[in-house]
Amino acid sequence: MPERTIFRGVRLVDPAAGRDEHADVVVVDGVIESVDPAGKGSGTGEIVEGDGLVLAPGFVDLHCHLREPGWEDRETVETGSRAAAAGGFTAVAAMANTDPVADNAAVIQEVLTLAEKAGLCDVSPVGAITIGLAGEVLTEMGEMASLGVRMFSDDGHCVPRSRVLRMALEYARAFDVIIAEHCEDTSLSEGTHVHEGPTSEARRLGDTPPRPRRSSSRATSLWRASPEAACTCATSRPRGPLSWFAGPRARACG
Amino acid sequence: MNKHLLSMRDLTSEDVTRILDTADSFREVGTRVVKKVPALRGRAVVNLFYEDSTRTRISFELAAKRLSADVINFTAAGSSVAKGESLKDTALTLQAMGADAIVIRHASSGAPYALTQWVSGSVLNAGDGTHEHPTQALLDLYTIRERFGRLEGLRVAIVGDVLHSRVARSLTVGLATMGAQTTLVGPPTLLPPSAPTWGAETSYALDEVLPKADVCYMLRVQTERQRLQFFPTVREYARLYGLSRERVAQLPENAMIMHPGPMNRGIEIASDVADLPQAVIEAQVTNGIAVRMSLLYLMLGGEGDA
Repeated sequence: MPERTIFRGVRLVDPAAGRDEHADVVVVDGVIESVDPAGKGSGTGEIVEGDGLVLAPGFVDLHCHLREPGWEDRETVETGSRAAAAGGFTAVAAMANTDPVADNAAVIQEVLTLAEKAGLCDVSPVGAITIGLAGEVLTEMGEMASLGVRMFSDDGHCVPRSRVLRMALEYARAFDVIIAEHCEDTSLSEGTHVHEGPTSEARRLGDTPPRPRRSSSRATSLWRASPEAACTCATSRPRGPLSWFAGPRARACG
Repeated sequence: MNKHLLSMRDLTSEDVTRILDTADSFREVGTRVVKKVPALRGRAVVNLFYEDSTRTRISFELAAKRLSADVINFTAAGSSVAKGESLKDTALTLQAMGADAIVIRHASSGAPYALTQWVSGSVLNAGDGTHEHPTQALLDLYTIRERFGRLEGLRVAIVGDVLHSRVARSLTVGLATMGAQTTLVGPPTLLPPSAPTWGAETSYALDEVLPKADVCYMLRVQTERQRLQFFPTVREYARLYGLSRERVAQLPENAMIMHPGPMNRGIEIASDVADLPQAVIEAQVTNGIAVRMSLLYLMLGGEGDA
């Protein structure tokens, strides 16, 4: 007997398909069989009452931290996968700032093995651009790419030397991968808390001079000089969470 | 024949064919007990080497001597260059001494061209910076033609640090002139953006190119390039772009393996691969003498200024 599930009266959200509506969704053996207006779905099977719930394609988190190896007191691949699955994320990209850093194939393989063991969502380990996230020496991207790594990033560290970043962007072209660069000039943002403006002035908070993220123009110009190189840029806020512009391949966002 | 040999771009396919055909006739000289012909008796050839070289300098010296020319070897170390003499003043000195031909190797691209502005004799470029090394290209063309009987239509993979390689520049141009198809293979950081204008294709994936290559030409990679971040490690370079036994098995059966020397065994070419019968590296050296004899003969008026 095929396994049949009816999600009844869910709010169906699928931006790629331009959908946001209430519907009955019938799933047979893990494959969507039909999508009908709410109340029209029929047949037998397990019923999931969807009132007040959202049904959407699996979310993808391009920037998360599973902390393992090295920081298991904060998170592990297993606990992070569990949290991801609970929140509707079917795929997560695990940043490279583990200890040891994911700057070599051995650490990447370790994360993949742990993720497979957890078995809760797809985990794509992100390889470091530079050894130790130190911004100086390129990692063996080729070997990591051969294990399936598709994104390289030094996480919250920028690659401060333009030459190194340029070489990384060019070298990456051989492997169908993207470079995700944290575009921040730390000489502008060091010791600061908020953007400069009326709010920072009123409270006399340490502020960041006009838009340190403009440093992302450096990556953008490098990308323009080498348009085949793929680059996704994160812009930085002072000490705050990163806002991600997860564009398609080869789009630089400033 | 042109008065100078600065770049492979200066040579037509007729020129190349003539040089290679003439080299054919000189190669026999190297097999004699007395390896000498009187063609250039009384002519003076200066080897002006500002950069270290073993095979090119010795090859030119032997080539000139086998043609009975008077040969002067000049190396920067131990000469007035060490006292700060400029290239121009050195050139004028040699000019005053009546050099008929100057063979120059220099770390600066364009030095041979500069020399032509100051001397009346022929100038042969024996490698200038990262620009060109036309006599290497000609001896390589000779070696390939000797094996396959032709150059037209052959598929040649040139692998490695193309960006900094004067050998790759000259050879690619020469192959295009002769109607062969070249694919330049290497990491994106070591392929020049202008490669399409050389008449060659490019690829980052050696394993995809090998099965279609009649000739696999490995370039020397300088470990200095790692320090400058052109590739992350020598290990990764060797893994991605080194010619291993496994990769040799992907080549067509009658394919040739070439290298301009000096080799980094274990980096761009595995040590056992360098010693395979398909590797014609010593043949390249032997042929180099005949090709340089041919050039000196044709340029110094063995046949006049034809």
